[in-house]
Order: sequence, then C-alpha cells, then structure tokens
Amino acid sequence: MSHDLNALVGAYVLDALSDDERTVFEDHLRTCVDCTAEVLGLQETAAELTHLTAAEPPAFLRENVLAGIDQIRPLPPLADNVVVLRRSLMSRVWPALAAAAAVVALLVGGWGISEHRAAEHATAKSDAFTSLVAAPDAKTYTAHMKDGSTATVVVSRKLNEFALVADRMPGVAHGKTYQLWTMDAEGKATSAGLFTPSTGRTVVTSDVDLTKAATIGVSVEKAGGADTPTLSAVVTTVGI
Amino acid sequence: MSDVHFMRGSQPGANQPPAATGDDAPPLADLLSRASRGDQAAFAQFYDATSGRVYGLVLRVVRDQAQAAEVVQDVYLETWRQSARFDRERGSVLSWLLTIAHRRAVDRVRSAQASVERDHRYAETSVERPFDEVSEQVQRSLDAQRVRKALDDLTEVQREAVSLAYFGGYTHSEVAEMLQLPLGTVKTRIRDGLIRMRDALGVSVA
Repeated sequence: MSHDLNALVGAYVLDALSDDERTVFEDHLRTCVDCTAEVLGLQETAAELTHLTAAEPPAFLRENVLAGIDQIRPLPPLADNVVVLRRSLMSRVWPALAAAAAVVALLVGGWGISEHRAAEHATAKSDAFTSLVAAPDAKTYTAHMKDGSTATVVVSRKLNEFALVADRMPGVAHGKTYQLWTMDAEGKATSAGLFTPSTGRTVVTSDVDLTKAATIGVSVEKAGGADTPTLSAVVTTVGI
Repeated sequence: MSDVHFMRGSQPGANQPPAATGDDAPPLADLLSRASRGDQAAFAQFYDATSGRVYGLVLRVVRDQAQAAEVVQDVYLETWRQSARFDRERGSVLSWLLTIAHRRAVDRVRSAQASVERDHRYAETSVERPFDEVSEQVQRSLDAQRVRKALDDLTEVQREAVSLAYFGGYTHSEVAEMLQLPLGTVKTRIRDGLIRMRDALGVSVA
C-alpha cells in the first residue's frame, strides 16, 4: 500500500479529517508503526498549543465532575497477560479505543477478558489482542490439545494476525519451550515464535504472515526453538 | 464522598498551574493510577492540575460557555472511567486527556452548527492572527510565551492552517476553502507546521 496516508498525520492529530477519513486513517494506524509514532509525537505538540488558551473553569463544573465520579466506577483494566510475538521489535499497535473494548466484551462473552489485577499500566500488548478480536473478519477455531483440553485460535486475515488462547496450559520441562507455528497447505512449517505459558489464561498473539497459512500448530521444543516442528512433540494443530 | 483538601485557589483569568510540576505535586500518571482504583481525592487533584488547559481548549473550540462546561464534564467522567486503561506507551497522560477533550469539542461543534454559520463567524474575526481574541484574556505564562513564539516562527500559512484546524475545529477541506489553497497544500502545511513546532518545543515521547 502506498504511503500517501502519511500526509494525513497532521490533520488527523488536529481532528481535521472528516469522519470517513478518520476511520480509514485509524485503520491504517493499526498496522503502521511509523505513522503511529509520528501521531504520538505530534499529539504531544498539539497538547502544548493548549497553553495559549488556558482559562479558569467555572466552580460548578468541578462540583459536577466530582459528583459524577461518585456515581460511576472506573472500568477494569484490560488483560495484561498477553504474550505478543512480533516480527518487528518496535511494534506499536494503535490502542483500540473504548468502542473496540466494548466489541470485545460482546464477542468474547464467556471467556471474559481477564480482570485480574493489572500491572500499573495497561500495555499496548493487550490492545493488540483487543484489535484482533474486534476485527470484522476475526474467526475463532477450537484447538484440541494433546492433554485433552481445548484452546481457541482467533484469526484475522485482514489484519494478518492471529492469537492462541489457552487456559491452564501445562508448564514445560526445564530447557524446553512451546513453539508456535503456521503451516501451509503442503505442510511446510514457519515458526511464529516461542512462548511460555501463564498460570491461568495464556494469550499469545502473532503477526507472522498468514497468506499461505492453512494450519496453526504448537509443539514443545528445546529452549531456543527448532527450525521445523518435532512431530512427536506437537501439542495441537488446528486448520484455519 | 470524601473531603477534598486540594483546592487550587487560582486568580480569575490566570492560567492553571502547569500539570505535574512543583516539588510536591504528584505526577499526573500517579494521580490517574490512584483514581483508577477509585481514589476520588486523587482524581480531584488531577482535575485541578489539568482543567484550566482542558476547559480553555474546549471553550475556544466550541465558543460557548454552557456547551464547553458540558463537554468538559463529559471528558473528565470518561477519563475517570478509562483511568485503568491508560496506556503509558501511547504518550503522556496530559496529551491523552487533551486529545480526548479536543476530539469531543470538535464533534460537538460540528454537530451543533452548520459549516456556513461557522464560516460566517470566522470571517468576522481577524484572519492574520486568529487567536488574538483569546490571548488578551490569558495571562502570559512562560509556557504560553514559549508556545506563542514557536507558533509565530511558522510561516503564515502553516500557522493559519494549524490554528484554523486545531482551535477553529475546521476540517482540512474547510481550511483549504477558507484559505483558498489546494487541499494537498493544506495537508502539508498542517503537518509541516506541527513538525516544526514539535522540534522547536523539544517535545518527545519518552
């Protein structure tokens, strides 16, 4: 995709795009690290402009705000136990806004994004998962694990990302690791990264290219990973 | 509701003290974090530290005190609701807050008024320095002076385009019409103007 959209960064930061343009641009931000970084910097700049217009608010406004917060509770934090496997080190996915979180709550239903006590700050990682689940073309698949439990794989071909969600995934022996794979129709496997499970819910996301992927798999490998999956140590495979 | 002991007694017309400064002022991120656990007193401090900038911005964009108060109240309630979901990787708390405030102010002004009306009001004010009408009301804090200089150092078109977009709440298409310039030019001037200001003010995302 050409990067004409980069020219819109300034107007986006100043809320000078039309609603349609804004939607397209925010969509672009989800996968563009450069534009996201520029937006963040220019938003700090725009914030400086507000020194010029600072004004004392009326006293009743303060009362109304404080009365208002007495009536409502802050929303719980988003899941922080998300492992993100990314090709690029500098990955920043533009945080999904509250609307996406609401969509997630609807889609995810019985899973319930973990509400366990968050770290001091919600991280961009959980927003990557939120964006994935909220993608219009997100599909979920059931993965049957070797130990009889089931896990879920969420795939968005449009975002070219997927996630594995598994509860109470068994730990691995010392010197071993889980490895995530995609496989094409011919069975050729590409590594999507290494991970260790969390206690409770494990969520692993990956942005490995899904164009040719027909299957997602997990195997147990030596620490450091393998070039191809050890077939006897495959924990699950699921067609996508 | 717990008693709040942290009233900032500012003089009428004075700027609010800058956020997160002062030896004893807790950083905004800490206040927000405490608020996210239900600490209303912390949120009151957060309000006191930021409301001058927020209200002033919204007032400038919507140009109506009653509507400004509504929008600002909404912004703070939403900030309280989202306080546990602030992502430090996305920048400072203040820019997050002001981004929300600006967007809501623009949404309000665009839905409340037809473009034609707003154009008419714009035509009545000075074209060259659209914010003179505001600067008289505000005591020049050092920060405001610094920002003013950076803005004045832009080219006229950059400055006008940025001001009309940010403080006027106009779309870039509307700005292009008002300045009688191609849309592509306006897009570039807005972006270049912001980049120059970013570099002049030494702003960076930690």
